[in-house]
Amino acid sequence: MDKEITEICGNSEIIPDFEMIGNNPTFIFTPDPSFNVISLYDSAGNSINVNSWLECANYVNGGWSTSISAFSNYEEHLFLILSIASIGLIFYEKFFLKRRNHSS
Amino acid sequence: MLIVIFLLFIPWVINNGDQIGSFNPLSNETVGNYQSNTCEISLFQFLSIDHVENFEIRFDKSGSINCFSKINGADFFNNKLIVYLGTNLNIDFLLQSSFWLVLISFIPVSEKKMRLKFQDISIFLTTLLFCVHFIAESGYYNLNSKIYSQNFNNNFVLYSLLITVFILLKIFSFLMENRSNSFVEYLPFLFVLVGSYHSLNLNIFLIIFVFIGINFTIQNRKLLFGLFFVIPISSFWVQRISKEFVFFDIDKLNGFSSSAYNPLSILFWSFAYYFLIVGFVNLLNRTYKNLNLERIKFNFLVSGGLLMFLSMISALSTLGNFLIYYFLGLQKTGSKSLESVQENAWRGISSSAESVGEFYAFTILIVAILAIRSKTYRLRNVEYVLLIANIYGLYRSNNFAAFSSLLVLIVIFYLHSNIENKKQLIILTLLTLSFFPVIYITIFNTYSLEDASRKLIKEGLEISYIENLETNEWNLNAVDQNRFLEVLQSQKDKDAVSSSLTYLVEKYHYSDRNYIPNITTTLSTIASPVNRGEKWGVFFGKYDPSVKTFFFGTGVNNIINYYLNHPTTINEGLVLPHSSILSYLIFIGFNGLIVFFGFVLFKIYKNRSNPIYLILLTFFLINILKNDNLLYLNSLILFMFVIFCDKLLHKEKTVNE
Repeated sequence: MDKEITEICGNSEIIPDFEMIGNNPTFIFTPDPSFNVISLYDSAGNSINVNSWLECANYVNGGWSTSISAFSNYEEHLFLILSIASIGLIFYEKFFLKRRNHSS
Repeated sequence: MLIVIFLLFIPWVINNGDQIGSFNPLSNETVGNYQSNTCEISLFQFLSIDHVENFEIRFDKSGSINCFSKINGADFFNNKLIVYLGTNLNIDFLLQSSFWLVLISFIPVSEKKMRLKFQDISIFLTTLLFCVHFIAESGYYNLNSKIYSQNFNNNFVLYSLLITVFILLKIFSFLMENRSNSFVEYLPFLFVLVGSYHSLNLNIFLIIFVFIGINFTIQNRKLLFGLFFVIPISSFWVQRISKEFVFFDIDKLNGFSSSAYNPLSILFWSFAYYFLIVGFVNLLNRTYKNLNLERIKFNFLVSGGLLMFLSMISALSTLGNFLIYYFLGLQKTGSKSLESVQENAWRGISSSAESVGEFYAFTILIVAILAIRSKTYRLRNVEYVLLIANIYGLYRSNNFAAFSSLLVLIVIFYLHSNIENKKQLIILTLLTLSFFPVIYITIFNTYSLEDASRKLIKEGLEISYIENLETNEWNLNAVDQNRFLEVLQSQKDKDAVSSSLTYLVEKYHYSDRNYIPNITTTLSTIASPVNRGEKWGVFFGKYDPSVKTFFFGTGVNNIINYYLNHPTTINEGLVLPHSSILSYLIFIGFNGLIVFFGFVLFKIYKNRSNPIYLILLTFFLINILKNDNLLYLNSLILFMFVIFCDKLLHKEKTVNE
């Protein structure tokens, strides 16, 4: 079993046949009342709530994840830029501004 | 100036795509192409296409970073072509903050410096407080970002928001060092630069004053002691939550009203409100010696003139409308035409015609009382031009209450300044005060006193879910026939009518006399001439407090429980109480209002020999009775300025003498 599926959807005795599900456009996932609903996200930021282990495993197998940030590369890059900018600001304040204030 | 131009235009130009060749001018036929090819071309590229047909630019707030400033779809709707422009939560926060900080840097530096002590800890605490906000109002942010989440793990959207708060406050601290002494003089510009973020339920001036408030609080024991009041009252409000609401569309209150009703949102707004007041009042108290009333007056005039000028541009140009909305941080897009709408009022770029009308009237009032005080009545040429713009703005806003109170107060101030005979002064003042009421009663009044006394109840019952209302042979039901108590008694569901309306109906029927001073009759009779019979009736139809929430409220800047907890026929769209006093009755309850008015009376008594102060405060007190202005940050700050400007006026008086 895929480790990611177990991590996200939990353990199950079901052995999923993803190929069969993928080839059957009319396949309907039966909701499992004992399964806690999980929200999954794809790379475009779309979300879906899955209602059974099999449905969850199928989506995770297709690249969906519970962590939105796993896909948000732009957000990660922006965060890095902002982090560098804030460190720059702290340095600017500590070394440049204070020195200028002392001299004036 | 170059940075301003750069920030204004470059964001919409740099994110160009290379598919421009596949886009034809926008029309009914080509809309499909724009719908299927999203995020391909920038706004600049789109505008450079030779479009023949008119279109409107609307925002798609939930765009990804990559989609920022790109065309993200189009529609043909109601015979109108609409283009959607992608914006992004993080980029909006960054870009709008940068632009506004550059504008703040235009405030001239003064030689006196005010270095904020405990700056780093204040920034840290402010960031922490706003982190609570981002978690509490996740429903709002989920709508504005597809990938927004409350989960802290690898949540770069949230990290970036918090780090932007940090950078914003750090830069603001640098700017404030040399500008804090004259910062308050520029408060009139808050009506031009509203500062509400496009995709965040925040306002830059809220962040700034909360930061200043936290900074003052950690340096002052009395202010720290104030937190011992905020903590229990906010805990009380949290305990009163019977049903949480994840999201409520706050529409034109964006940036200064909670979009969620849950414990964290109550806590955030309670603390933010406290720090906002502490921040502004203490900044004013520390810097009033450096402030100059003439400069403040001029800034009011310039702001009014700018407001009028920008409103015109916004109404006449699609691009102007969009840029002005985004870069001035408006809570609502500006009017798209010069034509007046409801009740002949034109709001321009402001979110409320009433609020902007009051601003124009206040500007004219300041100019008039300073002219009367100086007895020269002279203005500079530029001031005359700006004054005309303000008068025109007041005329277009159609705010009769502001106009009439302005006129009466100017005349009273003139009489007070020029007539020394006390008897004459009293008679003329009384004549002035009775002028508008007499005109109204003799010419405009269409209600009998009886009709006016029960209009409030009728309007309230009109929006309540009332069952079994039988009609007679003339198709009149019990409400039409003024048998209100019977309506209450016939209801199986005793909660169908709100507790406040039930109280008013019972008071009306069970009292010995249902004329003034009966509370229902008094409220209803006051409401009718100020055109608030319907609006206040709706308020009482919806306002359903328990005894405890009536006395202590349900939390500041949160109208959600009031709005959604008691179902009525009006549960869609934002229908405000149309009285700041009623809004604050929801927020802080009856006891809170008593404390507030007690404080105002104390201030009036303390400044009883300061006519300018009394005139300015009276103007505000009259107007907040019938408008929602205190729900807007700029109007609230102006109101606080008026309440606490006594030291400034006293200083000016001493200097003049």
